[in-house]
Amino acid sequence: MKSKFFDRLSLSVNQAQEAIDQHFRTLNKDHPFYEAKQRAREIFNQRGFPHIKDENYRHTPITNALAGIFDFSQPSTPSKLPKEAILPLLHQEMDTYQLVIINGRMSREYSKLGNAKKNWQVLSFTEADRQHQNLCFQHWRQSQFQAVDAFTTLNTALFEEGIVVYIADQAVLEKPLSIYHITDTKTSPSLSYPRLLIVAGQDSQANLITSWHIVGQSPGFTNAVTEIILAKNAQIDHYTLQTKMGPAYQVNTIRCYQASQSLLNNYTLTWDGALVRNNLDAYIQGSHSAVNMYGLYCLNAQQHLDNHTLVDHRVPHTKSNELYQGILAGEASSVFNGRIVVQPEAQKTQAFQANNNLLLTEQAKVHAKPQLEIWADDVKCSHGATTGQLDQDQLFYLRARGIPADTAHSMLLHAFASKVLEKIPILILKRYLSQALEAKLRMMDLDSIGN
Amino acid sequence: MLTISNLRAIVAEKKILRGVNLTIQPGEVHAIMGPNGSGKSTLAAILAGKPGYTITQGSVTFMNQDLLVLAPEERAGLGLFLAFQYPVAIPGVSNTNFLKTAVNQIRKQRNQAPLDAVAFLSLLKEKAKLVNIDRSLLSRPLNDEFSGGEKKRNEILQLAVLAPKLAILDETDSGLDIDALKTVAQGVNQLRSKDNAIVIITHYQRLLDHIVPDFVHVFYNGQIVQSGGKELAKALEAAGYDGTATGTMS
Repeated sequence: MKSKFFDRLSLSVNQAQEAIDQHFRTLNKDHPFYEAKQRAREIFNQRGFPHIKDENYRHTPITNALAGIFDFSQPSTPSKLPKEAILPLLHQEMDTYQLVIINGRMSREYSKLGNAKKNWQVLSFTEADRQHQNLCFQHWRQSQFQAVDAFTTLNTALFEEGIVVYIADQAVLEKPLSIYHITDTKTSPSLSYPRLLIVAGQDSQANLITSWHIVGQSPGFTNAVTEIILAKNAQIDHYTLQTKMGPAYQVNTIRCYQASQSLLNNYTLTWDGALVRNNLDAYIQGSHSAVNMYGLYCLNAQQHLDNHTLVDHRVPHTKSNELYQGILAGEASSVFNGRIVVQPEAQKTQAFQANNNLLLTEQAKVHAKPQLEIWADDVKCSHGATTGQLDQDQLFYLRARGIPADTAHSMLLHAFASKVLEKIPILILKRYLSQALEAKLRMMDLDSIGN
Repeated sequence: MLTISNLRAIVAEKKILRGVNLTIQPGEVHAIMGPNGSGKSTLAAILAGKPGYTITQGSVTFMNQDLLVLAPEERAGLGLFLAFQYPVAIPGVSNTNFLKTAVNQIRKQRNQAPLDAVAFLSLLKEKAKLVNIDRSLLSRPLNDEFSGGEKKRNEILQLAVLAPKLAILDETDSGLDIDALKTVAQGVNQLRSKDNAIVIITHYQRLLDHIVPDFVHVFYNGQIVQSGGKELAKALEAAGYDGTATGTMS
């Protein structure tokens, strides 16, 4: 058994190295990330994919899951998808700008970014570096203190264009920007490595709604890295929608760098996909900044979700707040690993974290691990994790008022989910998500009747 | 309306009801009094259909139906209402939405058309006034961060909105100050009619000064050991439950 794992591991590593070699043969030395890519190649060659005993992937045996399905030597290739494939994925209920990214490459045909002469732009890494003082390269140089994750490393080594959303100082996006990431798996299982850099200038403000999709019957593995840089007094509300993904395997890494007085609200909503790992890191580098991380997940069958969060309080007077609520049925499993670091100089930090889970079946599993590393003494930090079933007293109370068991059940699940949904300030998006969740819950009900 | 015959029940192998007999007719108000742990709240819970109890003997007929085979929601649909001693809080469910769902689910069971939002809100407004409840409680999550008095008042509001045939008030007076007690009693009195019946479960006589019962029953050790008119409550207050149980009161 063990040797089989090692065979698979080394096969996948060899395949990925082959893809990297191939990528470097065509890579332009002027690429802003050329140096970064070389470095990533070295690191990947040394370390490869996460080992079965890797603490960071302990409850998510991802290498094993992926190795059976995907050939890592395959390059991520450009794809043209017909309009009929794209349209059903777009948010019709909301008026938004739209940035459509297929297999990691921006689709100019399907993107709608409004007026070109405006105070925000979408650029390739190369264009961004040319227009904005080596923006991408400088960012890479400055962000090297961060920990290295195998999948981030692989993404860095392999991504092609890289896309920058550049929001100028004082710019306020009057509509949300919907970012659609699509991996095309029409012909075979495929891989993609989207890479985004979002730069929010001083005093700027934007709502970003990122949705992940697989188009096609075969499974897709999306290994994505999004970095968000918030300048002084910038506010970004970022939504990750993993709610209509299809047969998706995903490692979704988001890294945020916050300057002083900045505010980041991040929402991660997951109820679709086969295996999803979210890495959400916030590095708080400026005082009087705050980050809120809200997560809601609802899983059934054999779905597996792993939310790893990191808040790194590096300066005094900053706040973080995390609330993750999960509903699990069938044989689904989830991991919540919430790491909070308060550096020695980060006095007056306030950091709160909560992870609550409802298990609707005996086979569903949850691993919750808060990880607090506090090196300053004048701080307020707390964390809590709960795992349980629906409250029988609440259920009886509703039924005693004439509400049938299944309706009562559904009311309590919605109440549980609403603790996160109610934080969403865009009403139309909240309503859309609430309805989508309801559909998922109904589907899960059918499941349990079927059993 | 309600007939309880020789009802016996156990929980975790402990005998908790030991042969209860009680008949209630429309228009009557019954008080069940007894010390802590005598089983009177258990009787209320079993009538409402709370899971966790095993009926070992006896029967309960309500509105000519075998009550014990029905689900809690079906009992509510037939017109049974339990005002809880400890109403649970349900954050995330608004009080108004909860009541609307309850009203319409009960109407559905009775093959009545659901009330639309306008009709429901005017009903709610009328009843809120009747039980003198603060309007702000209606939009808040159900019982969430309600004070003890607000929770009890909210139970009476539900009673008023659902207009049951039989209302069982389980220690509704506990934890209420005298003003709240009077408001609650006033609300209940306004809901009395010749068609419905009320069972008041209480420890003390004081609620019965405000809601005057037709019958008083003394509950002790899982049984009704004595029944009488409203004057029995006063006698109990003077002699205590021990006096009753040992038979020195008569």
